[in-house]
Amino acid sequence: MRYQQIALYILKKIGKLITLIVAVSILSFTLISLSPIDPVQSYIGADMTRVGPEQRENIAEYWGLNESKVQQFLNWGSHLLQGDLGTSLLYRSPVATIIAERFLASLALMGLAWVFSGLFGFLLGSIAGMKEGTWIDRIIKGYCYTLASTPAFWLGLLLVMIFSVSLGWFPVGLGTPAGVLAGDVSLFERLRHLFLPALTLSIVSVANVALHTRQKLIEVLESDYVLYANAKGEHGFTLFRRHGVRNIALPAISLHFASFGELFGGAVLAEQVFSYPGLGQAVVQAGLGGDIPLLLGIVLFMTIFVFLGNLIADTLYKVIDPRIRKGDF
Amino acid sequence: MKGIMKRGNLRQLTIAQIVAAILFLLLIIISGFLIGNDKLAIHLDMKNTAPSIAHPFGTDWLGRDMLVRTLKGLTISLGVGLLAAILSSLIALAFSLIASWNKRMDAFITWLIDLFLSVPHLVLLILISFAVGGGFKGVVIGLSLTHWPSLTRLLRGEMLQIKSAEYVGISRQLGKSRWWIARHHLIAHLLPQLFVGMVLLFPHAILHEAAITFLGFGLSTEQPAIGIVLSESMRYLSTGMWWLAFFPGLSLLIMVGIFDILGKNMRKLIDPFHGQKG
Amino acid sequence: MEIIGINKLLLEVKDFSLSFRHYKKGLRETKLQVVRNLNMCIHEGEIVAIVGASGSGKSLLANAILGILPDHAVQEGILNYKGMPLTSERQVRLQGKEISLIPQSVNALDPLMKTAKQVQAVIRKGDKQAIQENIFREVGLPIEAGKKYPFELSGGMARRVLAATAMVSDADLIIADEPTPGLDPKALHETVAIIKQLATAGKGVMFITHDIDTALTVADKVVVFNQGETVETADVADFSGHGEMLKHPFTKALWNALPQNDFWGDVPLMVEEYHTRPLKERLEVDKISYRYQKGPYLFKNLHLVVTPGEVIGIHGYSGSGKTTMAQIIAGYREAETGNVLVDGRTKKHSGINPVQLIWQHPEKAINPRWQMKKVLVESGMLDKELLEELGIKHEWLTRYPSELSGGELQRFCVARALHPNVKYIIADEITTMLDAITQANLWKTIVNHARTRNVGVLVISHDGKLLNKVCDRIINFGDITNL
Repeated sequence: MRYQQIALYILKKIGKLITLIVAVSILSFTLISLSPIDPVQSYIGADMTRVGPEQRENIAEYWGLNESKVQQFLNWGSHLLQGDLGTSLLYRSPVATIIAERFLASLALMGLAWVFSGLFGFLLGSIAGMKEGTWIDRIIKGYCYTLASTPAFWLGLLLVMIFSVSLGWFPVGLGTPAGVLAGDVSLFERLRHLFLPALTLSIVSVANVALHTRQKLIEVLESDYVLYANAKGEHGFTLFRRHGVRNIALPAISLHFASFGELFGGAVLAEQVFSYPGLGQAVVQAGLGGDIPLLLGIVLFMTIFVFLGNLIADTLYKVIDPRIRKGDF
Repeated sequence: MKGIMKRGNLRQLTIAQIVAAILFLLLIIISGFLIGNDKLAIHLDMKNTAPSIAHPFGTDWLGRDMLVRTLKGLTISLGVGLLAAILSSLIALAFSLIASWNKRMDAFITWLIDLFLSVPHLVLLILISFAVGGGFKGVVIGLSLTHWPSLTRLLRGEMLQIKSAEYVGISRQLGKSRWWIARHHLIAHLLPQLFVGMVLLFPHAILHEAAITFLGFGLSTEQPAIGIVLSESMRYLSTGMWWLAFFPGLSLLIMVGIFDILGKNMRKLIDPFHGQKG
Repeated sequence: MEIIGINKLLLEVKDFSLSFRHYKKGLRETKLQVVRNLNMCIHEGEIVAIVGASGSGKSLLANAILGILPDHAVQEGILNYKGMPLTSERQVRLQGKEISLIPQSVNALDPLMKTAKQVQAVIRKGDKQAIQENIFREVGLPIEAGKKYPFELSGGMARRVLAATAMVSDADLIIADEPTPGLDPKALHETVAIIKQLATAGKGVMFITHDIDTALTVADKVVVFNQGETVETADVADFSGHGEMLKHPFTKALWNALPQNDFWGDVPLMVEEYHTRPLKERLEVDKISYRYQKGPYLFKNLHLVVTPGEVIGIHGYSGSGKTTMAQIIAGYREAETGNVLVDGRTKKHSGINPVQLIWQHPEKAINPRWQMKKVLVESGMLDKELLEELGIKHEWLTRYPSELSGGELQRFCVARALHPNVKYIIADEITTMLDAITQANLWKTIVNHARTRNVGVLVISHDGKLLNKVCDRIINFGDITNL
């Protein structure tokens, strides 16, 4: 019975993922075919003058651009089903390889920021919630509201100005020093390049977690069981340890997993400011350069990434919260 | 005395904050319109000057006054944000009404919300801008098409909650028509939510506008948008011209913050249950 | 008051007042006086009941004594515990150690902590697990209940966990805040027994309730509370006959309004022979069955007939499906099988449903954003005479629901259901949360209308005494569920 339920749950989620991918594919393909940008043009790039109409025709033929949009979609789709995401126009190599490479770089950035902003945000939110209405709460709240209104890329620019330009502690950009082979870069050098973008991304992400944690904690503190705990003489840290953490940790962690989309949005901006060679930078270049296969590939990949985050958030509730765990799965 | 001020005048304080926020925003709009394009003229003799009394925000590499550029940029951002927020809210309203029609429609709208939320916001914006071909139109369409899901979800939830409320069930048993119930029970409850939701959409829309323009998908480089100003400033960062990025970004932050304050205060005023907690 | 025997004085409340700063729609601030000139005291081994209508500020007294009032409350007067003033520092020291609370709601248990752990947290010395298991046995909880989370327990069991928590705490003063609302007779009896047990063990108990009947079965002394003021402190023995020994008219009225006393007062009752009417006109519940999703059936082939002018009572255990049945009959839910026939037809009525349900919680049955006038306009019931009969004051019409008490709101709900086109009324625990006087008043109006206008009434309640008073016949719900 129990296993049946779990199997059903997994099946349901897989079904959902498949419909989602199909829908996102159709949506993004439609959007892209609406675009006024000529894919042949973007393929040829700067060599435009040297390419005659005949060659253009050949290129269009090669990419299957003369077929109907539906046919193009089906072609792309059937390749996709065989695991072939196509070839990037900009980088002239398979989209899958580029995504894998770039994603690893982005993952380091996002992972660091995710962990740090989660811990720090939870801490800040807990302090603010416990001390609701005091000056410390006001400071934390003000800080978070300010951050929530801060353009992430501007924050990045400020950090560059302070730490790289004025103080010279960190390099201005690039994931690895220019002219050095990727394999030769020391771990320290990598971290040095990772630090500022990760800091930017962390600072921006803190606000969301902290405000949510604070809100939840205040709700918990207004609950009947906390009032009762007060009546039993539980206050301050004891109260927080016994009833607070227990009731806010799961929502906070879940929310944090469900925020992968926002996280990647921030990463796109941070990577752009710091010229960090991650997936975010790749998507911007793909968009600006009309690299359709890469753009589609990244969109699909990010959809799965966000879906996984949501899936984990959802599953955590089912596995941890006894009200759901022991109830209907 | 201080205690009385703090507690006694919550209503006045809230209203005062709303009025101040609206005044400030009006000031930006008016100044943005009043300043002619001639103020943006190039003065190569005054290029790259640090902030001074004549040019509080400094000048750029073409000698243009950064304060004027910032104000112009904010006005454009405001316009884009306003338009996008209104369009988004209309989409949200339409979708939540459709969702309330029957279970099938509700499932469809929920699925649509999930679909739009499953692609990272910024990536979707890039896609749509790419499709429309950038520019003012592209940004507005992109922002409108990406900002409705959260508000729709909120409105749909409220609608469901009200529809299952005991007093609505009673209204039905008292023989009231669907339309009567929608008019008297639903809309009166939803309109304030929609309005506040719309105001709270502004900050998001404006920030995303700036971000996408900064990335190069938004407004064209001829327009003095904040995103453009900031992305241009990147080229001059290593020369130590900090004012090129600092003041425009700070101004944007302040404007976004004011919209946020405006929306939250309005919610406090409309929804007394939020008010109790202060 | 005089000291009873040699027992020590535990709690003394003198000229106690309490008010709130609060915000209404649009953040208009008002000061709301909730308690005025309250006087009472509790000795060791004594149970003192505080009786007042819901929303009269009784629970706030409990919170004031425990020092857990919300920030915007302002209190005045004297609160003494064991002869010394209760300062906020002292309150923090005494909370849970010397003064302990049995809270009103079962939501007072932490939803994510196992119950045994919650009880053990209060025990300060000794083998915590042994003590907790002991107390569970004492209040009649199985030991396995300790390994469960609150959501896995029934309401009655959760209440026992709360009582157990108060019992292990070694407190000298126990404050029980409405521990009995909506309990069926069996659960009520158990709760009362537990509280008496506490007093026998030498503890002082403050028993807060809206239900004077329960108060009289539990307490030694009764403090009567009306509109935030103490009206009278009386011994339980004073409540007898027609209340000749009671001093205050309000207390007398409260006593006399009880179903077992002079419930109907001087209102003339129209008693008529209902069963002589032609049988074609009737509400027939024809073999309905219902269950939630694929759960067990709540009832199967339930059959029930209400004839015009007849008042039928239904009683049964909580959670047995009475409310669901009421909702099906009144058209709020669909039965899995079976029909509800009004005068022989499975009506698809346009206009008002001839079967109207009055709900238990009036505050949920009225749109919180509407003025009361609009509520009446919606139902088309602006009959002045009726409003007067129900005691609805003119100035209430311009108020919002949040500005009226539950009893006041329920009068509007009753008015709404007495529409001329309504032939049958289903009343689902409509006066459970109300004080005795309002209860008597509402029932007088409903029964009178039923008789004069031939309206059939189905009364659902736990209160056997009430059913005996107002109903022509009483059905045990368990007898008709066919399970």
